[in-house]
Amino acid sequence: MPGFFQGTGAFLRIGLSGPFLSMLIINHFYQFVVILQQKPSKLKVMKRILIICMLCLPAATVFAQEVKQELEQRIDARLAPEKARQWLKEAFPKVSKCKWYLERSGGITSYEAKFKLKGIRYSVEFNREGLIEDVEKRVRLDKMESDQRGRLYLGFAQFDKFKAIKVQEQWTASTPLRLKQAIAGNDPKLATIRYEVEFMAMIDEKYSLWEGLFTQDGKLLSRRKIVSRPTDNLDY
Amino acid sequence: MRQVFLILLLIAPFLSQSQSRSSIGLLPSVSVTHSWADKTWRLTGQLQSMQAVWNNPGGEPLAFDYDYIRTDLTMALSYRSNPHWSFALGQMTRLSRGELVYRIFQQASFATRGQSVRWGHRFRTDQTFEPEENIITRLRYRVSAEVPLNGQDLNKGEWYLKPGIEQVVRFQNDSVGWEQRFLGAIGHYLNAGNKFEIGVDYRLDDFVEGPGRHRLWTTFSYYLNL
Repeated sequence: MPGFFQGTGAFLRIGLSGPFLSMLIINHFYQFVVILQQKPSKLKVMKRILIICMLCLPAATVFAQEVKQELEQRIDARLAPEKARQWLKEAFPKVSKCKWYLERSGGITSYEAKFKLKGIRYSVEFNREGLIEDVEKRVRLDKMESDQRGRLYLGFAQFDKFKAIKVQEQWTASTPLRLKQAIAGNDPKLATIRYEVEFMAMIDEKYSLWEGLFTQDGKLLSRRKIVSRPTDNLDY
Repeated sequence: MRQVFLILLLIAPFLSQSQSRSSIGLLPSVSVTHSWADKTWRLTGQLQSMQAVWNNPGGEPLAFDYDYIRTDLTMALSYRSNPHWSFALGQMTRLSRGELVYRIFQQASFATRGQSVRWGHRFRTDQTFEPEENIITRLRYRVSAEVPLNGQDLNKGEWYLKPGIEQVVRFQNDSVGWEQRFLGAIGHYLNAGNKFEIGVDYRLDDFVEGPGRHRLWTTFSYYLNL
């Protein structure tokens, strides 16, 4: 039973809140059943259905709580900064279809362009003013050069039960022009290359989902836990 | 909403078949989940009621015939072994026309995320204990998807579509039954603690040897995470 009794008061929460909540719900629903099991007329039935909808659904919002979350919204290309669209056009002249997104994370706004080129998924991020921040392209570990893959695996080895979910090669450069030249000429020497890896691993005795930024030598620069949305609507 | 109407239109011909039995009704539910130990453990309580509003029990045209069928209270304890897999044990108490029916179930579910769509696979077995009846055992598999309607990720305040299919095989004594379920809902993700869905749940059974029984439920589901 790993973690079952973890955390202050977990036992009390299970012991008290579960049955209490159930009793509350049972009582609430019992009233529906009593109403509904009386012989109804057509008009009364409709009235009861309305009552159910009104009582069943919004009642729970009383418990609503705010959770900080990264926000990403699809936007029309015309809403992206002109400077960003121009840079993208020059660095990737062959891209005709591209989706634009507005991202807000921790009070920072950025723009992201996503597209597919020669079967590879790209994601290009710009700051609020439209200045390029980085270019990310999806890579497969099994298709990577064996030297590079080996160095990354050395970095991954620090984690127990490591499993890579998604790997993206991240290109950055000292100036927008330099990054444009690196991309256009496919010249990695002009850019700094890092790897953004979404992975599962056992960290702090918990098998969770993480996002880490690794250097080409496999050194972990940063990591953050990915908080998944609840799956209750897929499970029940 | 357009998709929901489209599904209703597609299903309508089945419901008008003269020989088969059909019902149309409501299936509201509320699910409350309390998680702890960094969301490894979850206790879920679900209350659901089934009400038929239009019926044709003998194969006649559908007619208004309100019938409160049942109320189900389900409690489940689940353990998440990794970010994708979780395992649950649960029990359901059903109040149906003054009789109590009990069910226990065992469940494994797998949730994974593609480029933007989140997929949920659910494998479930359950055993139902009805008064003066032999045990009914069912094997169930459901696959459903959560498709954001704005952007690649589902964010707070956004809408999503949730289509799904479920296959149910039922065993009782020597008889075997097969039921198919098609689900479609539009949902609103209010925040990490709250979301609601409105949709349809179409169920077809008794179609292998019999004329088929068609049931179409309008679903109203609220999910609350404490």
